[in-house]
Amino acid sequence: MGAVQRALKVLRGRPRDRSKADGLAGRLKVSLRTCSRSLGDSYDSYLHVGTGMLKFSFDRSLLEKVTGSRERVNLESFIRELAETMSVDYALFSSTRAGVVVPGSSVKGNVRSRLELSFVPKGDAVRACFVRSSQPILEPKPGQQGWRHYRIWRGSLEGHRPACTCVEGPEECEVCLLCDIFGTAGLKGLVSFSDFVGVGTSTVKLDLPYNEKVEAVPPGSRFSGEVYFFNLKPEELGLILFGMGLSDSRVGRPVLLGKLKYRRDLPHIFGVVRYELESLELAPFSKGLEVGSSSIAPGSVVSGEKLDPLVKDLVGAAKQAYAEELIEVDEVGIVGSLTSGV
Amino acid sequence: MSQRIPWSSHRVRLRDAVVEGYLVNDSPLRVGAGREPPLGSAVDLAVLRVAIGGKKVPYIPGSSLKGVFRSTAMQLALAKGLHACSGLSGYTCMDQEFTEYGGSTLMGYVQDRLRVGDVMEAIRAFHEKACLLCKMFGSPSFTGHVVFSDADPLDERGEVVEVPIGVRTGIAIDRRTGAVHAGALYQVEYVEPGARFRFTIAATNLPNYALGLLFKALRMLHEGWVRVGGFKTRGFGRVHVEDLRISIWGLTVEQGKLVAIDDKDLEVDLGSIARVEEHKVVAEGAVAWQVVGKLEEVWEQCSARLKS
Ligand SMILES: [Zn+2]
Ligand SMILES: [Zn+2]
Ligand SMILES: [Zn+2]
Repeated sequence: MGAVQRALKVLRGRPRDRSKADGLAGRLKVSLRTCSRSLGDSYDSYLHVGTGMLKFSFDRSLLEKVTGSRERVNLESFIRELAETMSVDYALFSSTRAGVVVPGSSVKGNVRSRLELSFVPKGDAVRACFVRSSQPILEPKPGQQGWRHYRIWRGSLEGHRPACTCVEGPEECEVCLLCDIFGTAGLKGLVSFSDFVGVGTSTVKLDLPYNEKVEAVPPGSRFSGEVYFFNLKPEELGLILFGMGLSDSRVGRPVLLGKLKYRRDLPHIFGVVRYELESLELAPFSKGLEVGSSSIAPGSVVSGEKLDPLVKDLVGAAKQAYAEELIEVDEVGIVGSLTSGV
Repeated sequence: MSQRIPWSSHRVRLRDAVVEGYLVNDSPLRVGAGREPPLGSAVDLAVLRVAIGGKKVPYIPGSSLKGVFRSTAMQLALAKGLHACSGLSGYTCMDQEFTEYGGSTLMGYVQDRLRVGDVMEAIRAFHEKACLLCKMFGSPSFTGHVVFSDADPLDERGEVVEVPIGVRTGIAIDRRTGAVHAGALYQVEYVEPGARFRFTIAATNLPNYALGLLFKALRMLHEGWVRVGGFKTRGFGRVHVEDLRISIWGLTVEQGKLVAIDDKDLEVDLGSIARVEEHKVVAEGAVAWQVVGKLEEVWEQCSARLKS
């Protein structure tokens, strides 16, 4: 149990001033697409991002039968009958009137949790807390809840990393780097993620084993959204990109997102996606961006292949600033190599 | 005229400007009552509604819009190196202490002068010491020169339009298990994308550079740099402006020219782009955006001179 209980110090400091612009501010236009062999990827992947709610269908006349009846026996037989006739509807893909969307909160959560897990302890200190987590666990055996997740991220799952809070107010609290950037209880984040809206995307209904039914988007589906940032340093902007799986160019490596992403026992693969940076624009009130060989003035936009060296410089700055603390993990490769269990 | 009344005083009426149009939301929009709850509190949040013509419909209160415009204008002013306060009570220009006023706050000094009947000195002191934002948007015990009406879901004929509402459930992933963290973080009602809210902003006495600052904030809203309502870090509240209409009229509008209102201001000639009457300028649609652009230029040109 020693390793699990390992005492870690989460590095914390006063959150930076949010009230005035002091640093990089701007927006990234980002797309997200499910991997597809026809686009040169090694996987054909579906994606399901749900609404967090399940719909059931059942026989309404049964419900009418039971109203008025107060006898326990009747109620029990009602429930039995209901269970037999009830079926789960397809778990719907999240949507608004604008169409299918990967909610901004889901994209933000995906990027943030990848970053939290990519920060590993250096000595007895760690740069980031786990803002949402249960208690430390021993390594689960194959087939147990969360075993694949553990295998992928074991390097950062040892030790307590309690969440930062700022409920006593920004003048009183201390938070870790990622809570400062993404926000935590009582503290507004410095980055915002829009909904990623489907671009000509349509869904398909999939019947999976054990009567699991999901609405999903097929391989090659594209979503587009925006990430706003405020008061960041170049290496922190680089971290955001790193959290999307970007490293050497505007196209990220395959990463995992959404429901069923760890499952390899299904007729389809789910959740293998790539983020791609479409443009970077600095706000009129931003500081100029100077990183590596790149220099960008407030109010200007960079797009296309000019983004490649910029991404490399920004992510490079992050890797340099957090050397020995950031690990680059091939989630998709590791999951693919784990074959046993469910 | 050494005793000329400055534009920040309500004792003169130099000009009126009205900006109208529709705010159309591109993303879910949530304007709720009260503050956004902290992360982690599982609550059901309803959108704010108002009764119009017997129907309860979502709307955007003028006070929210004012807050968005003021904080945007503040960022823009600070970026130019100007003194600008947030307007939050306790931290405004009115709360600042001045040695030349015997250590009294601006508010205290102004009230003292008013008490002894020295109105001109009170006006002068406020005009000289308060920041541009306090003069434009107001300050404790000082009514500003820009008024934001509520933005309601009304059509061109002023009739209420049905606004579709959605519900979103927030969930989180447990970092240790990779599975969904127990329980929903929140369930939130939102206005579905595509709703149109009619807005009106009425401004009096604003110099051209101040109109330019107001218009720059409007453009930043239109371009998505700033957003309205709650849940902004989850992408809510992105709006753009449609059917923009600007009219400016009064003593300081002459044949399409907006004359300079103070010694920091620059004259602007809108005669070649807008519809011009003797003391009035009107611009709609793309032309209105050209007017916005012209005045934004004045803001850019004057902002360096406003520093002193
Ligand atoms: Zn933290
Ligand atoms: Zn007035
Ligand atoms: Zn002020």
